[in-house]
Amino acid sequence: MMAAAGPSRPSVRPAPPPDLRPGETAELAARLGRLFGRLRTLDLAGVAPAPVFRPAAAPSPAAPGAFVAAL
Amino acid sequence: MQPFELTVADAAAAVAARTLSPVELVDSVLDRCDAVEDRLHAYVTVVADRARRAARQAEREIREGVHRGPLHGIPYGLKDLVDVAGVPTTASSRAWADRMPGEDSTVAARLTDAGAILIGKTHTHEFAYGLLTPQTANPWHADVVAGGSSGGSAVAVAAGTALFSLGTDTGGSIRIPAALNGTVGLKPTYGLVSRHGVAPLSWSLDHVGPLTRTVRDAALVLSALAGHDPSDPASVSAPAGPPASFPADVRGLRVGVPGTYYFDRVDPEVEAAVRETIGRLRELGATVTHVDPPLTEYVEATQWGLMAPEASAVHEETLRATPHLYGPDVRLLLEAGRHVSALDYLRAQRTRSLIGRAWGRLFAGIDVLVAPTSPITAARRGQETVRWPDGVTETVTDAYVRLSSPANITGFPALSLPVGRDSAGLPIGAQLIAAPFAEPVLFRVGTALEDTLPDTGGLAEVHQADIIHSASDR
Repeated sequence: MMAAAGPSRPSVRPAPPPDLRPGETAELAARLGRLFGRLRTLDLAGVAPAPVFRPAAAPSPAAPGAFVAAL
Repeated sequence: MQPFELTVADAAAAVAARTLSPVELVDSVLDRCDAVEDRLHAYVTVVADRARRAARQAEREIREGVHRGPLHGIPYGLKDLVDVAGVPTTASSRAWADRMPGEDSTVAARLTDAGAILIGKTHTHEFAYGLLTPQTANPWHADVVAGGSSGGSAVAVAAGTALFSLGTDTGGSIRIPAALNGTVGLKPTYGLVSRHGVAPLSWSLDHVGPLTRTVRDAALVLSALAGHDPSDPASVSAPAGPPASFPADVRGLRVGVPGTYYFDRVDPEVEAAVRETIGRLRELGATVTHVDPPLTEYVEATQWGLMAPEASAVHEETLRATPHLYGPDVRLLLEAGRHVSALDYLRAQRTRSLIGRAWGRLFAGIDVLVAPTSPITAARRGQETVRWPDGVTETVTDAYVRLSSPANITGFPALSLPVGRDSAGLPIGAQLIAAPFAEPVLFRVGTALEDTLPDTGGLAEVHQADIIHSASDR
């Protein structure tokens, strides 16, 4: 009996390969973690992530004619 | 003077006046490649036949009265992250050894429309994830690095194997090699130049921009590149096209000089050259103000908090499938980036919001910030760390990126231009940073400065030694 057609299931990916040099990777990851600790000292209440991906058609944050005005 | 020694502006004038044909110009640049490429290794691929065909077409068009503008017939190099249909994009990596793009990137298409002629694809630090470009030699001295990641693009321009080139800049990768090789490098405002068809490193920090021999040339190239592109989700509708000409006059401009951060742990010769540059601006009529750039203590953490996880996400599938094809330094960074938590990534994004707002307020009071591009000139090959007089030791890479990454985090435009040389004869770069879309201010200040310098637009005297003993084959 054929299986009933249903929604396609996402393919299962293999686990990532082991790190090349696990000790060095862990050391670098730990160094980055310590670095990020600095950001935990900031009061970020009410701060949203920066909108770096603006919609393509959105108006520019600069006023029209800013290039000319800058001169 | 040989044609390959001309600036873009001078070559464009000669081509327009028909005193120089694109065929002569391209032949001269290809001859220069033959003469120095075995020592410099700036290029992954040189497309000589294609370039000669394009030069003959440009010559025909100009003879028939079709003139596409100042880049018509001008030979250039393209960082090997940028797609051109039918020319391999390798990212200087074995992981992309067989990658052949089927279509042009937006910037390559724009340059073709402008009549520019591709000479070849230039070396990058593998996938732009590093600041050394070990395959490529610095033309000024055999024993020092080219810088990166757009090392091949900077060396090609400095050595005369391209009149201009394009690079990418995620933490300083246009400006740093520009400074180390004595060229001009511009990181435009985030979103002003399309990244469609350009291999990403970190989507929210990546920029594409020109490397040139003069500031005027950078403005000419930016004019051809800038513009909204719906294929790049970060592309913005620029308020107006950047002008290709502008007054070299800084009278009335407000120049900010950082009292903190940008002159901390800086080589004394670099500091002296940049302070002399600031003094020159004062003599030219600018108003010099001392400022404290805000939140700089969070720059390094924010840069890494954004870049490391984004780069690991970009390479997730390839790293899973073919990890052995990455160089060990890049593989280590990509593997470590997988361990960054979502909370740390979001905290970096939110900190970027704070930094961007604070820097916006800073630029309400000044028109341009002047600082060193890099705290040191080109480091010796194999040198891993820099030790400062206060006892602090940092890696060469951390030193290079320290002063350039704020403009990646904020997305503000920044330009590096050569302002002298150290006692070893190595170039020193000064960095000009302005508010979003204020590239014309950078061009004004940069042009005014280079008009006061004796060797503006000059080439490096390419050293004689072939120092690439262990050239990477990736």
